[in-house]
Amino acid sequence: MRSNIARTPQQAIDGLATALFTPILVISLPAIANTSVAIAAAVVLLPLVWYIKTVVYDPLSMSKPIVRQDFSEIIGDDKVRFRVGSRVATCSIDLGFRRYIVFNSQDLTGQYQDWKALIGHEYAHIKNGDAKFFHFVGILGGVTFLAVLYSLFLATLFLLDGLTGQAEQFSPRGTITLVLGLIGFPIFCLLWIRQSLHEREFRADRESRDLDEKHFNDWMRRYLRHEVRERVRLNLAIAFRWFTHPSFKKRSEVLQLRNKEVKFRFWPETLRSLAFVYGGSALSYLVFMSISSYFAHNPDLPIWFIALVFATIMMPVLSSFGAISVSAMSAYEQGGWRASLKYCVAIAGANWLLLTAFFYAIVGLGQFDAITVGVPAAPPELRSDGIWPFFVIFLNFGLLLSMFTMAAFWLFGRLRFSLLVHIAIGTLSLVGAFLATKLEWWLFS
Amino acid sequence: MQKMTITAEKDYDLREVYDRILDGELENLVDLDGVHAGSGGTTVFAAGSGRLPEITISLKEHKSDAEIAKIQAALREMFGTQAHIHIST
Repeated sequence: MRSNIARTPQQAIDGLATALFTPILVISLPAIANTSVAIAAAVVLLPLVWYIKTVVYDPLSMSKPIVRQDFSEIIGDDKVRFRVGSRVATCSIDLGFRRYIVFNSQDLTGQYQDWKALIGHEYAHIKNGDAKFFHFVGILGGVTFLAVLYSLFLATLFLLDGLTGQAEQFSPRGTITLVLGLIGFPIFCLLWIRQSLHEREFRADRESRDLDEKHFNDWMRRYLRHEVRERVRLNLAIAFRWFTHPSFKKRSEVLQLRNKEVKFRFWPETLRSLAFVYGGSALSYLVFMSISSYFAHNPDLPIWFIALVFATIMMPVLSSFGAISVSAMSAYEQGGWRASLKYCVAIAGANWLLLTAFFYAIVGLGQFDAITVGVPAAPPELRSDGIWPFFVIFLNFGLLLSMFTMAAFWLFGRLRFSLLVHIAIGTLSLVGAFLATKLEWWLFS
Repeated sequence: MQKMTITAEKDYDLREVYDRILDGELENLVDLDGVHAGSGGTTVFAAGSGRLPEITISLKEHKSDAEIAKIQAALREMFGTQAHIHIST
């Protein structure tokens, strides 16, 4: 039985990141369907057809059932069905009502007896719900990614039209925001999917080793040797292997860290967090723009819809905060205060630099007034100009946020309490930043 | 340089043959540094490292026909009666 409460940073980050997929689908698919039903259908159907054919239909159709009582006894589950085929790679398939482990025929024969290592690995994928999670990533993640890519393509066309003077009406600020958001989100999407898949491989390896250490080590040793020796020509299949599975070098390294989910790495974690922040924030802004445009055309909406709108706008932002929080705590767990502080300062600094750069880009393009057109003036005590608002963001969003999170983690020692503190402080800091820059003042007035 | 190539017909997988050569089953007949596997594709979400359709063995020193025949015989013995494997030199 899986617990619904996140017990590790990875589980927490998965839950939070999942929340990010919903708004983009809610907004982007009807928007695409509005312009082209055929493309919207393709965006939805292509990942679905590809996934079902490649990951479900092919392994099942190219294999035959086998009955092996010893397999069921080893994994302690007699409901899993086994199949074997010479053209399939060993994998697990969980259809909900039926579960399969499909073996490559060579993995079952020969002197190395790979099946003794693989059966534990594949059964772990079924037992831990990974095989079901693959459906989510393969279909929903694929649809989201394609939708974003298509939007990026359209936005780029629009930007080019605007820059070459072909567009009748052109809004650089809107287009720049759109393009930045649309670049940030696929990067975030891919990073998250890759990390989530890799974490699941590490866990399956660990559980397989617990089941049969001798054969597992033998299998790992030989594949590590393949990896070191093979001259790999990069092709699509190899790229996909790299995306879905960590290298055997990495897998063997992680296995040595017995009680840790993954070793904290400063630069990848910092870059991933920035992708989370900008993907989430830009997405939130896009959702906000789309919904306000929808409101302008449909003023008679039920009152309960406001709560839904607020949740849809806030979800990506909260997910971004959550991602930073989880990374800060992961840094604290793995490297103590020093690592966590270094990470938080890097995030705060990078965030400040990027925001400042955006601000000057907007001012440089002469679009600052355009942004504030139609925005009611803030009360005098909240007005501010120039670089000052970005110091406020820096203080609120960066250091303060991270410090409170770490303090909460230290005091409570529990992931979910510090996550709540982080989200609360993060929301407050965001409100403070919005007020300080007065860009979105009318949202709160 | 003499080169020996082992290729598998259709979907046959040479992973085990490759491992057994690397584990030293050909003893001193070939230099292990000269043994390389051609990379194959893989299926998404699979556990293993993909199929090996081809193995090449670069022979550093020039070998006589008799020595080549000896290596081929040793390989044949390893493969058993699998007719879908071809060895070319």
